Amino acid sequence: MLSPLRYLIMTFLLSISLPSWATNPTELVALQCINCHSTTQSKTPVIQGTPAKQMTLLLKSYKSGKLPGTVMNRITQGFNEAELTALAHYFSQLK
Amino acid sequence: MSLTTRRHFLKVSALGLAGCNATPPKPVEKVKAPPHVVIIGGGFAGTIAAKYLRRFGEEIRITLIEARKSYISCPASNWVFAGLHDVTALTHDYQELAKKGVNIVHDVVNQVLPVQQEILTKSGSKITYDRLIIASGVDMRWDTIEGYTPEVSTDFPHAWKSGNQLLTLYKQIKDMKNGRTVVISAPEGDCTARHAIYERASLIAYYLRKHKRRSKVFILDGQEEFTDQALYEKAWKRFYRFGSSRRSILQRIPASKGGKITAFDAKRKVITTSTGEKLKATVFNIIPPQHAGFITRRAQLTDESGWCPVDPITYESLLHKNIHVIGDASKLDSLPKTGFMANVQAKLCASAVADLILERPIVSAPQWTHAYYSLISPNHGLSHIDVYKRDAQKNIIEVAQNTKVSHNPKLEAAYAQSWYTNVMNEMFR
Repeated sequence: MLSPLRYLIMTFLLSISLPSWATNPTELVALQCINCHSTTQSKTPVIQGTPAKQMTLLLKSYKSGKLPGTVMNRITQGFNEAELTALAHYFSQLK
Repeated sequence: MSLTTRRHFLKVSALGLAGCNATPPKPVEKVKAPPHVVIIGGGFAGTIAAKYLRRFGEEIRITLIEARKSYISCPASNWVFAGLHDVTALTHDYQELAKKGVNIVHDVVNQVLPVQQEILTKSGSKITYDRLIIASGVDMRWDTIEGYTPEVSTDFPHAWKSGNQLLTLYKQIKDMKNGRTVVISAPEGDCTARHAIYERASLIAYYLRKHKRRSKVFILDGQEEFTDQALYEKAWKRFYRFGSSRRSILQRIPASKGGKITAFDAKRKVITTSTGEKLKATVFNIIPPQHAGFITRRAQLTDESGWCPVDPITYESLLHKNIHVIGDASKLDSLPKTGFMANVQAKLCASAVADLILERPIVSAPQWTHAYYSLISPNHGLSHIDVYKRDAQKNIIEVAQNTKVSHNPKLEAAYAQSWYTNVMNEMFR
């Protein structure tokens, strides 16, 4: 049995190695994307795990209008290129 | 904060004393009881706040207070009229959330005491919190339409909140004789998810076109115009002969032509409009304007607008410390009140509350992304998009809007449905 103090220390150490909370703004924006883009089977494309380069290109093409979509052309207007690239990198690391 | 800490310290010391027969005394003053966050309301905002608070702050003790054991969602409830799904698809319970380590309390909150950091419930419990997240939604404003009272609304439902009134409206429209009329009254004042009124009218029209070909649905609109009106009217013309008055299944009367209603006579089933006209119908769906729910008003968390002003990063009330308000009840400049926005706010608030209570630096998102869909018919969806940012003064500015016409209504109808499935999974599974 762990004493409460040791338990707390252990939780603390574990949480240092694997933070479960949002550590950057990109993650908090990504959590808004998953309203539609979840990992479960649905009609909306699953974007988790898409290579970062490919997804950055897609997002920028939506923003420029080169790639016609439904809502993504409008959503990307609210983001600059650096923010889109950061989101692409974030989603590429998810499974 | 110092009071709270001291209270924890006392609690922990007491525990330490109780255990001192068995083991030698330990330096217990360093061990704090886990901080306690209470969430009031288990809808779109409250469930997500609970789930993400668990993720962002594993050591936090979380209690969710919700009156109902069974939740019927209001978003996607219009789809029942079109036979896209039935009430069971809208109905959920809290068992999975409980399994995730959220303490679910089914009780009615009578009062929040901000100074004492206490919640008093109908069953007589007193629940203390370190931080409180209120996601209790809206109440109807019963002072706006003469004769339309909470009692009258049982038989003439607003059906604008989760719950049984939706079931009443479904039954009334199903039982209505062919050739009779449905009236939907849209308020002049504040209304959550206003677009859903126009979706509701569309899908009732879809049902009438299929099953009651001589019936009509009228929108009596307290407002002159509405968002994306041209998109809706174009689709209504295509599906419901909107505009050609005699053959039209769906009609809309704007405020200037008598769309605003001032009184309702439940005995005679007659509506009085602001232009003095009296209108009869068979089914009345009267949606009054709304304001933040009772407990927020009682705790003086609302301002003169009837909503709860909050900080745009932490969602902490500007009127009382340690209380955060999210979802429809909150007021953040022009941020819309929808299920999608409630979900977004809940995630951002959960992150900020966990950071605050665990004394970490607060991480904030630069954007709020907002999307909603309206179905005009089962295979024809319209979407609306907004993206908001904060400027240097913390004012909220809209940086992207719904400027382009929908590209693919069929695909958007499908996306609407997958959005709903995703969000329900996120909330209840």
